[in-house]
Amino acid sequence: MENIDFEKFKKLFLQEADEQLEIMEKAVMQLEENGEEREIIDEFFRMAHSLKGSAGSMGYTPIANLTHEMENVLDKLRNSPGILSDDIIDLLFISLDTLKHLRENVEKGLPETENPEIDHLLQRFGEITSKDSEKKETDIDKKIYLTSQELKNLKEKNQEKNVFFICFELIHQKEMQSMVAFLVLNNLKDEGEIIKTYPPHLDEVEGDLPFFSMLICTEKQTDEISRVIGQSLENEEFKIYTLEDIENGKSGEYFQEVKESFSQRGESRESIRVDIEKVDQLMKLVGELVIDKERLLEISKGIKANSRDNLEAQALLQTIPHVDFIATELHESVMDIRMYPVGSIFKRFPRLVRDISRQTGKDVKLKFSGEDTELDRTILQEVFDPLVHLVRNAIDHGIETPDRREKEGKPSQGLLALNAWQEENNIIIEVKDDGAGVDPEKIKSRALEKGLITAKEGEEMDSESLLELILEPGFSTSETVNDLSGRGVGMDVVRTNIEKLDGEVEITSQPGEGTSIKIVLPLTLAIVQALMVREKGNDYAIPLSAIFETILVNKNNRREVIKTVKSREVVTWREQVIPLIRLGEFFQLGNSHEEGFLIIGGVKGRMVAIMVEGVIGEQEIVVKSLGDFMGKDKLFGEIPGISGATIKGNGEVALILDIQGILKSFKKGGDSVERQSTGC
Amino acid sequence: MAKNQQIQLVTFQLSGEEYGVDILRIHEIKRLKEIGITHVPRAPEFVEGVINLRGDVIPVIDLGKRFDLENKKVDKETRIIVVKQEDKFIGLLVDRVNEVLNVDKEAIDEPPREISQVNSFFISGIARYNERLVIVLDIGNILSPRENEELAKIAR
Repeated sequence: MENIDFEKFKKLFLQEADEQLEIMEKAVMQLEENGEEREIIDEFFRMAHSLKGSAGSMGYTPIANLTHEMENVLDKLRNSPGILSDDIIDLLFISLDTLKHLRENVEKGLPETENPEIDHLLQRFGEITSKDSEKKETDIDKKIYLTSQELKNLKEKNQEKNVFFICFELIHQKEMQSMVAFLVLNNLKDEGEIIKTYPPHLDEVEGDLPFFSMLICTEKQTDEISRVIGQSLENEEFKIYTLEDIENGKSGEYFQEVKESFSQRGESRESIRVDIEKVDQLMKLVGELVIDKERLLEISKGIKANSRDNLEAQALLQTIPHVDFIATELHESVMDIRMYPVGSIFKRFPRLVRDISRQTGKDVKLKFSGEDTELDRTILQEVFDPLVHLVRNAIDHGIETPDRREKEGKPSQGLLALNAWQEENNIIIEVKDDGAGVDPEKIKSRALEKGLITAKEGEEMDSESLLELILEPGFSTSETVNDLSGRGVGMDVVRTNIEKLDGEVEITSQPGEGTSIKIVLPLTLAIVQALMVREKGNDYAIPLSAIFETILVNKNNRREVIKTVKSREVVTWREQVIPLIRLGEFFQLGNSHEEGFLIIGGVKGRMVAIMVEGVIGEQEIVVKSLGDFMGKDKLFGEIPGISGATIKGNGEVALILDIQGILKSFKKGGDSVERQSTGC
Repeated sequence: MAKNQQIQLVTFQLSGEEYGVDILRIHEIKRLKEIGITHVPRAPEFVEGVINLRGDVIPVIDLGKRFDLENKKVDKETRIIVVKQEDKFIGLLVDRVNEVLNVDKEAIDEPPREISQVNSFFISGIARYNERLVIVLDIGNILSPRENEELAKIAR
């Protein structure tokens, strides 16, 4: 039992530590950028303080010790303004890294070992704080904190009633101070609603309490409140502030509005933490439900035809559409839970950009837009690493050194923007810099040198296709190889990872002006609309997003629709000549058939006509992977033309066709027909 | 008779020889007739296809083909043994499932070099049970990349 509780607390501790560390990191970044700012130091202090508290109570001594020293330094910063130095900033950064490391050890359940690094850090902190050994009593915790939302609510209350903030200081009374506080509180409770107090549980505090404060909402006026307080307090100081006073900053250090942007916990909307595994489990169940729903719809078609007179069957038929409706709604609701704002990964970048800029001697300003854009959690996780790579590239290869930029007549500080937005059913994340840009000619010569293209191909390619060569394996335009990027792997890995998510990478660049790399992603991967087709007794699903049209091919139109160019079959569709792939041949399933359906599909402007025996119909499918053994870098390898699997209404597995993969492996198989001109 | 000295082997038939797998490895045994296997085009030859295991898609491999044995036709005795390897599930297609044997650990010998037609890389031992010899399979090695297999051959 105890163990279970401990595990629960540990989980909670880890979650809170994540938040606290994140806020602290943001605070250091802001301190570095804007210099000493009281609010930020206070926020930082609060986070360090609560981490110290929870680590201490869980028995994680190294974390508690380190945060304690951080607190001391922050306190020092507060009390002696002007001492903030790069040294201290660095020290804080290193400490945060160490804390993260310690936190990970806690998560993995590793024992606390001797850590010379911590001792070293503690010593350095000690040096800073001991410069002035006189420690002042911290007043940070004397504050009552309100979020903007809470303050707004108070203002509304203030329309009809009075909101007072009252501070007490017991100078004469030295004994039983908490008792006095308790009496005051009790008397005031009769006069109105006590909204918040410092310390938070004023009625439970014991012992010394020279200072306390409370926020009260009452119908009474100031003088009446004064009188009530006077009944239980003699010769002691207290001050009553109105809400207006607070807003004008008169209540001074004892009251503070917490900015939402700093502490996300201030949201007034109620929320609960849920283990992500539970959501995934829920999603899986909804997936099963959607499968069964499709099965029900299928069965109902059969019933409809056979049982017009059967009342029970009719009742069943009326229920099924409702089940269909609910399953769809439920699916959407669960999907919504899985949606995460892109900002949740963006906020990991400031630190990264800072570190890379330092290493490369660049001066980079990072900007965000569209942090609220939401994306499926699974996709979001997968997209982080590629983004890191793009950001590294942008700083390392894109943005020039400050000297160079000035020579070019640009501001010495480079601009790196991470933007996100939604376009129809896609989410686009853009990494944009105002650096040197990419010269298509340079790419061409590099690609020739590496043998990625032939001279003839190089002549024919426009600048757009040349830029795309960056994404080919083994391509790297940087002349130097370093830790950060330019090892010749990377951009192709970015593309592979994004394509695995059914996404695309687009590059645009203007030499001298900068580069923009866009990652285009589907909103969600879990459930998609698909067309079910049949070939040689097997059912396959094709995502509707990749299909433009379905054409029936029979004896009559066969010769008109399918032509042969240079011994390859092609189809002319909307004045475009596109290659024909017979699914049965592509999958080596056996002899081809002369009648059937042409599925006109395409990805990224590359079109293909896929010939299948039959079309079953449109259906919602739950996308599943082919398991742990099939796929890239897995034991049984990649299956060309198959991106995953889904489960049919009858419980059997149907494979999902990967149009892009089919196009790719078809291209490898010989000359592509796609560049054929139209009027043949 | 101390129980911990024994292991339980699920034995099955493959191309005329009797094989065994530690029962703790086995997740379930399914009749082939009961479930539809979906053929996966252009997958390795020994991959029979994929099946739906309570909502998850898992591959089924034909052990006979994996071991380069003579193929027996699928019939009503054909079974899929679903085994678990490091949290991953995989189905093994076998000719017939025989029984569960309690075998003394001492009665399992190191695999000799040429005991059966099967590459000894896949074998963790030979169990003696009365007059029978059961080839105990090493599931981990069966599911390891071909290169390891080659390496093991060279090492011998």
